[in-house]
Amino acid sequence: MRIGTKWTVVALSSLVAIAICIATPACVLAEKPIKVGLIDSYTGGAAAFTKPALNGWKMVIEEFNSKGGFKGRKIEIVTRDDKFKPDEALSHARELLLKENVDFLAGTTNSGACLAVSEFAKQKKKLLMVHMARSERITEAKGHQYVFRGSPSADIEGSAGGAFAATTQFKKWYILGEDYEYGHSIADNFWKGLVRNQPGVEKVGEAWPKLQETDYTPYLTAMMAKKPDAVYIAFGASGMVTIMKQAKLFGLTEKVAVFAFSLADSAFPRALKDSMPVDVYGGSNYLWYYPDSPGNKTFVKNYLDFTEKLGEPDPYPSGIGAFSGYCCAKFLIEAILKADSVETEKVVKALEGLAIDTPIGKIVMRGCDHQAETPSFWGKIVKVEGFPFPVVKDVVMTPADKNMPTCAEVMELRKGDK
Amino acid sequence: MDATGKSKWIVGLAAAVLLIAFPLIIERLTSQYYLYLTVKIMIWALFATSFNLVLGYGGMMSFGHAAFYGAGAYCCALLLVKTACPVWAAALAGPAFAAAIGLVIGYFSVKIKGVFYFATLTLAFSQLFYILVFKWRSLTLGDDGIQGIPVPECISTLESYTNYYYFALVVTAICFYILRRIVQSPFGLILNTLRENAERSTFIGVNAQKHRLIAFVISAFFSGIAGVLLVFLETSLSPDVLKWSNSGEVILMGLLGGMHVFLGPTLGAAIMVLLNSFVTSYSEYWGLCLGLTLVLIVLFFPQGVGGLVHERLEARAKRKTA
Repeated sequence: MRIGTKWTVVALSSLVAIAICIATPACVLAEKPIKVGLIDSYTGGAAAFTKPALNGWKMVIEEFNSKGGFKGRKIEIVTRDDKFKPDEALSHARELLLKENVDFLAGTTNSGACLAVSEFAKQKKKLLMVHMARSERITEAKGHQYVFRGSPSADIEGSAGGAFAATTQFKKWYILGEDYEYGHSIADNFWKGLVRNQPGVEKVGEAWPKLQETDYTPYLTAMMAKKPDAVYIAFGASGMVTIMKQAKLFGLTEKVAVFAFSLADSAFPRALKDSMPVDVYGGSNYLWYYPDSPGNKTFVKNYLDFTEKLGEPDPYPSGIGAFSGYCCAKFLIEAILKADSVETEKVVKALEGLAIDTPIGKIVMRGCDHQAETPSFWGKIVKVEGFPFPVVKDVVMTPADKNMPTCAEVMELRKGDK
Repeated sequence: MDATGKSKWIVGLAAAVLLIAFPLIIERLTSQYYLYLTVKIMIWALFATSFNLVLGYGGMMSFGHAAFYGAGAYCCALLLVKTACPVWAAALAGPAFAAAIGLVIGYFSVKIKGVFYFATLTLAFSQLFYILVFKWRSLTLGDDGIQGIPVPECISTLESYTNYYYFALVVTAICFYILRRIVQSPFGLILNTLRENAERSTFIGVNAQKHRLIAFVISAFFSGIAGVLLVFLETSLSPDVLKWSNSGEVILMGLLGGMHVFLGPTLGAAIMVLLNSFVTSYSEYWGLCLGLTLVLIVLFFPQGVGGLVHERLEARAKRKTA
């Protein structure tokens, strides 16, 4: 009899609990976080950029969560290491969506991985926010309703570099690029941008050393034999560190004008240390010291405070990593707030044309191709008193809309890819 | 039928029923992700078993099998994306192309004497193929890879993995049946003989090079089928599929599961895929975990997990008959 009463009490209390939860769905929802599945390369050479990017994401999300989140729901990041491999990235995307039930996907650094995950996101109708992969095909030929990029594409970066290089009036150019998709893509766009702005320039030669080459000296020697006025170095992050170290020993920067996108990013002077070249032309999508505005100073300080808490204080947030992660997280959160929902279709709609405030001003997510209109900053990298490493002096900012393909051109590319 | 035969039939029947009912169980109990993982295990199992024909049975340490896996996958994917080729034709062309590549690589490799040189040559050929795919951007799209590969609706994984599971199960089962018949045939026995003592085999009139080449081509063909199955499952493809690390993975699967048992590589594939999925969900140190597992297996069960199970079962059967 006693056992019977006990079970009756248990059953009745369970019924009451279920009734309460059904009657007040908000109480159930309040406990369920909004999950963002972030796939990136957290081991290997790319980690120098992916970890700051993750910090950028976390910084924005932590602030959002501390203010109560979205209707009581906090955002949670679930990370997966793709080891810079497309098949691993795709496998993780499936696991995150099917097992972890994430609400949104984000990542990656490897463009091949990004394109594979993007295809999966398209099939499963889930939003993918791209934060570092640069291939223009992600938002152009292979773009679709569910993929957004909150960071620059190779054609934005390349064309902006070309436009800037045109102002320097060098005539004879040499292209030295890493033989993979990003290298070719950024070099092609650089050349297009240069020719468009300075007709009459001459390409005296080009060379494409293989990815992860260890000795660039033969390439540098062959290049100098062509007697160029300037050279454009189209390298990815880890290759850039290697070639710049060897270029320093070779004395390249004393012999010829050197242009390289991303070299102005704070990640490189810290990785290169004494090998960081000066009097070269470099660019980045973000500079921690430009604009010298209160907004940018606040961002740098907040980032330092945040990374200090993690035990890895970083007073110079990088553009490739930290700023890109920051922008992507901001785009996603503001879209959720604008849509007043976490439903993919509503967030997708809200993201189209959304403008976010960033330390470098407003950045708009273009509606037609889902590519953020990120500006580029170029200039000569020199030693400036008061700065811990060489920085860009007399920064030239190129707005993205000057370098992006038009919406009609993108749609044409997408049709051609069908 | 004797008792052992009877119990084999019962085990086989139970396994078949379990495999057929598996999607229904998974759908009721947990997420579709496990169905996807099971299909992945089947693909790796087919690749590892076809590779084992060369290593476990033929004694040839090939370090270039990713070339055949990737050749099958790339041939099928490119035909589907770049031409109006029907799906069935592309699916058949994949393994045929892999076999053709196997014939070329095998023709040069089987002539070489010594495990080290054989491994080096096969590795060099496969790297050559990888670089070709990586650099031929106009055809293969380089490291960006191929996405959006069209898959027939009946096996599409858009809504559910169930149909594709059954498709992969049937294909893998047929391939396993053929491979099993091959290893049990006189040809398979000759391969075993060549592995044990190639010199003696040639003294009794076995054409070692010819037999090795045939085994190599058969193995490449079935690796190509695994590549095609991968294409239909993932609908995306990147040159990474051709990387030497994939050739290494099938060797590890053989080591884990046991190279001298037919189902050993399948067991190895299951352990690797499941362990990878589990570990990478919680940690970035998958490599460390795999390394430790391998060290333990090699130290304590050099015959592999499958080999150990096989030994125990045989010992039990002997005890019963005694």
